[in-house]
Amino acid sequence: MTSFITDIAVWLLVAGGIAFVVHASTQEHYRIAWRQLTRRRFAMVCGGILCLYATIGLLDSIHFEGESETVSLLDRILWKLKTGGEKTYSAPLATHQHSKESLPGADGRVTFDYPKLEHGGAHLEDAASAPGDIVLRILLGVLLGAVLGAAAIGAAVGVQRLRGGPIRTAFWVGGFLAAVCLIVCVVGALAAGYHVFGTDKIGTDVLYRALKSCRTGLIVGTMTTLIVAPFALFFGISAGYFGKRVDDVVQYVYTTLASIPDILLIASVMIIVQAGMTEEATSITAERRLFWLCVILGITGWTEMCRLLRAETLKVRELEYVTAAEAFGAGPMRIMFKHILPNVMHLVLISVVLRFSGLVLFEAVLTYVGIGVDPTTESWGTMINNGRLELSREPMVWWNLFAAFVFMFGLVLAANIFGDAVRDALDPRLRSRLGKEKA
Amino acid sequence: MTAYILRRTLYAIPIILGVNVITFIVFFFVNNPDEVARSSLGRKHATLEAIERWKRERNYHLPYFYNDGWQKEGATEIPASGWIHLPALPAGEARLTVEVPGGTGFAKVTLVCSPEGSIAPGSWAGTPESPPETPEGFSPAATASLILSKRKETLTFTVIHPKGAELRLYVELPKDQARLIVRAQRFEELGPLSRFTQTLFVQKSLKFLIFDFGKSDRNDRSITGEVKERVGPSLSITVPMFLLALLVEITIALFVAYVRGTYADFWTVIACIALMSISIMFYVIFGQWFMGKTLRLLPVSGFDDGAYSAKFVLMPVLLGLASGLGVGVRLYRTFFLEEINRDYVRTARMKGIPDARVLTTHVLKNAMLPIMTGAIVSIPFLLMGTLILESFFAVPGMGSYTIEAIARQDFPIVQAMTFLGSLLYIVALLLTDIAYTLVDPRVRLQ
Repeated sequence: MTSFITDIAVWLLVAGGIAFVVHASTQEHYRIAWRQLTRRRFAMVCGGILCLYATIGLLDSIHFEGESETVSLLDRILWKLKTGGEKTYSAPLATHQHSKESLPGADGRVTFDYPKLEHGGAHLEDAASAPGDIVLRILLGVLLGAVLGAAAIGAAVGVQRLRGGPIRTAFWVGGFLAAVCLIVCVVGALAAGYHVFGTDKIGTDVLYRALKSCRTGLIVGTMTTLIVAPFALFFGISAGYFGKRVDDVVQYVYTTLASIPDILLIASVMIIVQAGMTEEATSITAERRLFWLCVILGITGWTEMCRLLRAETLKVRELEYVTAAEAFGAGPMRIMFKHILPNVMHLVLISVVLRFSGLVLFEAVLTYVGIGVDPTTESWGTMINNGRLELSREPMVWWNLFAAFVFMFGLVLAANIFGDAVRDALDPRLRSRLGKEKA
Repeated sequence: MTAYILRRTLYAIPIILGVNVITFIVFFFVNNPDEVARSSLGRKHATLEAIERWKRERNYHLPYFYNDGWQKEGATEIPASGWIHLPALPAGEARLTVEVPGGTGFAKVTLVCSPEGSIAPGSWAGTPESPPETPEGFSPAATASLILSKRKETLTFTVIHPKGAELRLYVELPKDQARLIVRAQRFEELGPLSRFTQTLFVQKSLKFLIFDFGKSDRNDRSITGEVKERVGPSLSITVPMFLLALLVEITIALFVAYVRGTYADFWTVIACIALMSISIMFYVIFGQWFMGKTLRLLPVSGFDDGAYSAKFVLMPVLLGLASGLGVGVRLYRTFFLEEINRDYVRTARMKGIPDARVLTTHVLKNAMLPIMTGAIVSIPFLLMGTLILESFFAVPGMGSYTIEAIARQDFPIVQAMTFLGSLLYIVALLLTDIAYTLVDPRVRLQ
C-alpha cells in the first residue's frame, strides 16, 4: 500500500462523513431535513449521480505499488484502458488512426494511409465489419443492463416490501440503479473492444483520463472547504459568542482576507509552492501540490463560512438553553463546543455542497492560468487545457474536450441541483443571504 | 449620516493596511528574495555573486523593516586556500563577514588591508596568533584561529579606510576544498526617517499606497505605467459586458418573475443551472471555434485601437455575457420573488394595478437596491479585467498582464495586482455602503 497525503485526507474525510451520518441519523432535526430532501426526486437522482462519481473517486484513492509505478484500484479495474494506448489521436470507436502515416505494405512498397489501431477494434478480422460489431455490442450491453436493471428494481421493491415503506420510492431507487446498470453495461461492452471517447495526442484512452479526473474534481470540491472548516468553526463561534474585542479581531481578519482577490492570492502562493518543489516531478510531488492547492483554496474561501457561522452564533447565543447552561455554571468552552457547535454544524454542510460546484469549475480556470494541479495530474482542467487548441486542428479533434465537458457538466449540474435541495432542507432562510454574497 | 460615512471610511484604512502587510508577508517571507533571484536567474547560473547582483539591481538588498545603516555591498563565494584576493571595499567604514563552514580541527583566518586603513575584529573574539607573512604593500593584519564545530562560524571584521581598502584574506582550513562565503557591508549614516523608509517594506509594499508600484523584475518597465496603458483595453471589454449583462439578466429575470410558478419559470431556472454548470473555458473555446473559425463572423482574437476594436470586442463580450447569464438570472429572480411577497405589492395589486406594471415599477424599483449592491461590488472586476477572456482573445489589458506575470513568475507585478485588486474591492464596498445610506432611509436612522 502506498499512501499519498491526499489519500489519507480523503479517507479521513470519509470516516468523518460516516461518523456524521451515524450521528445525524439519531438527531430529529437532521431526520426531518432528510425526509424533506427525499421528497425532491430530481435532487435525489442528482445525489445518486454524485454517489457514482464519489465511488469512482474513492476507488481511485486506494493506491498500491504496481510493477513499475504506483497504481490505484481504479487502474486495476480499468487495466485494459490504461495499458491499451495507441500512438496518437484516434476518433471515438475508431479502428484506424486519426492521421495518416507511411506504412510498409506487404509487397514492400510504402503507402501513405491511416494505420490500423493497435487496440481499438483489434479483435476484428476485417475493419469494415466495425459498425455491425458496435451495434452488436450496444445490443449486448443493453440486454445485460436490462437484466441487471430489472434485478435492481426487483431487489429494491423487495426490500421496500419487507420494510413496509412506500413502493413508489422503491421504483425510483431501482429505476435509477437500472439506468446506471444500463449505461455501465453499454459503455463497458464498447470499451472492451474500442476507445469509447477516442484517444488523445499521446494515445491515452480519453475515457480512462476522464474517469481518473473524477478524483481530482471531488478532492478539490470537498476537501477545500472541509480542510479549513475547523478554523472557520473556531473563529466564527468565538467571534459570535465572545463579541467585543474577539469579534473585532476576527471580523478584521476575515474582512481583510476576503478583500484580496482569490485568484491572485492563490497565484502568489501557488507559484511559490511550485518554486519550492524543485525536485523532479513525481506522483508524490503532484499529489502534494494538489493538497496544497486545496489548502490555499480553502484559506481564500473560509471567510464566507466564518461570516455565516458568526452570524448564526450571534442568534443561537441569545437562546434560552444557552442561558440555562450559563446559569448552571458551564464555562465558555463547554458552551461553545457542547451547546452552540451542534446547532451551527449544518452551516458547514451547506457550505460544502454549495461551494462544491464552483470549486470544480474554478479548478479548470486555475489549471489554465498555470497555478492549478500539476500538469501530470489527471483532471478535467488539464484535459481542457491540453485540448483547447484541438478544435482548430485539421481535421478537428473534438473528443478530448467533449469527454471533459460531459464528465464535468454531469458532476457540476448534479452538485448544483443537489446542493440547492440540501440548503433548502437544512436552512431555507439562507437562500437570499447566500445569494447576495455570491454576487 | 456624515458621521456614519466617515466612520466607514476610517474603517477601510486598517483593512487596506492589513492587505498591504499580508501581501508583503506572502511575497517577502513565504517567498524570500533569494529564492526569487535563484529561480529568475535559473538554477544553473545562480551563483552567490549573481544573486547578490540581481538583488542589488532591483533594490532587494535592503533590510525588511529597519535599516541600521549597514548596507549590503555584495557577497562572494571563494575556495579557502592561501591568500585570497577580495573585491575592494568602498571608502569609509565597512564591515566584512566571513562564513567558515563547520568541521573539526583548527582554522586560521587572517585579514590584511592596504596601508592607511585599520582592521578591528568586530563581534568575534578568537585567540590572537602569529600572522602569516604579510604580502607586499599591505599593512599588518587581524588574525585569529578558531576551533571548528559542527555549526558554521561567522567572523566579522570592521575595516576603516579613507580611500577604500584593498583586501587580502588568508585562510587555513583542515579541509582545503571547503568554500567560504564573504559578505561586505558599507556603513552609511542614515537620518531617523530614512532608517524606516530605506527598507523593503516601505520601498516594495507601502509605496503602493501612493500608487507607486515599482518596476517589473524582468524588464525595466514601470508597473504604474503599464497599468495606465492597459486599463483602457480592459474597460472596453468589461464595461459593455457589464452593462449588457445587467440589462439582459434583469429583463429575463423580470419575465421569469412575471410567469412565476409556471413551466416557463421552472425550465428557465433549470436552463440557468445548466448554463452555470459549464466552465467558462468551454464557452470561450467553443465560441472561438464556432463564431471565429466555422462561421468566420468575427476575428478569433486580437485587439485594435479606437473604433476598430469593436469587431474584436464583440465576441469576448458575448461570451462573457453567456457565461454569467445563469448565475445572474437566478440571483435576480430570487430578489424579485422576495419583493413580490411584500405587503406593498399586495396593496398595489389590490388597488387594481396590472401585474406587469406592479413588476416593472414597484418591484423593479425596490429590487434595484440589492442588484445595485452586487453591481457596485463588481467595479474592481471591471478595472482588473477578466483573466480568461483577455488571455484567450489576446487583449492587452490588465487580465492578460496578470496572467503573463504569473506565467513568468514576475512577482512585483503579481504583488501589485493583488494589492490593486484588493484596494478597488475595499473602495467598492465602501461605495456600496454610502450608496445604501443615500438610498435606504432605514440605514440612515441607525
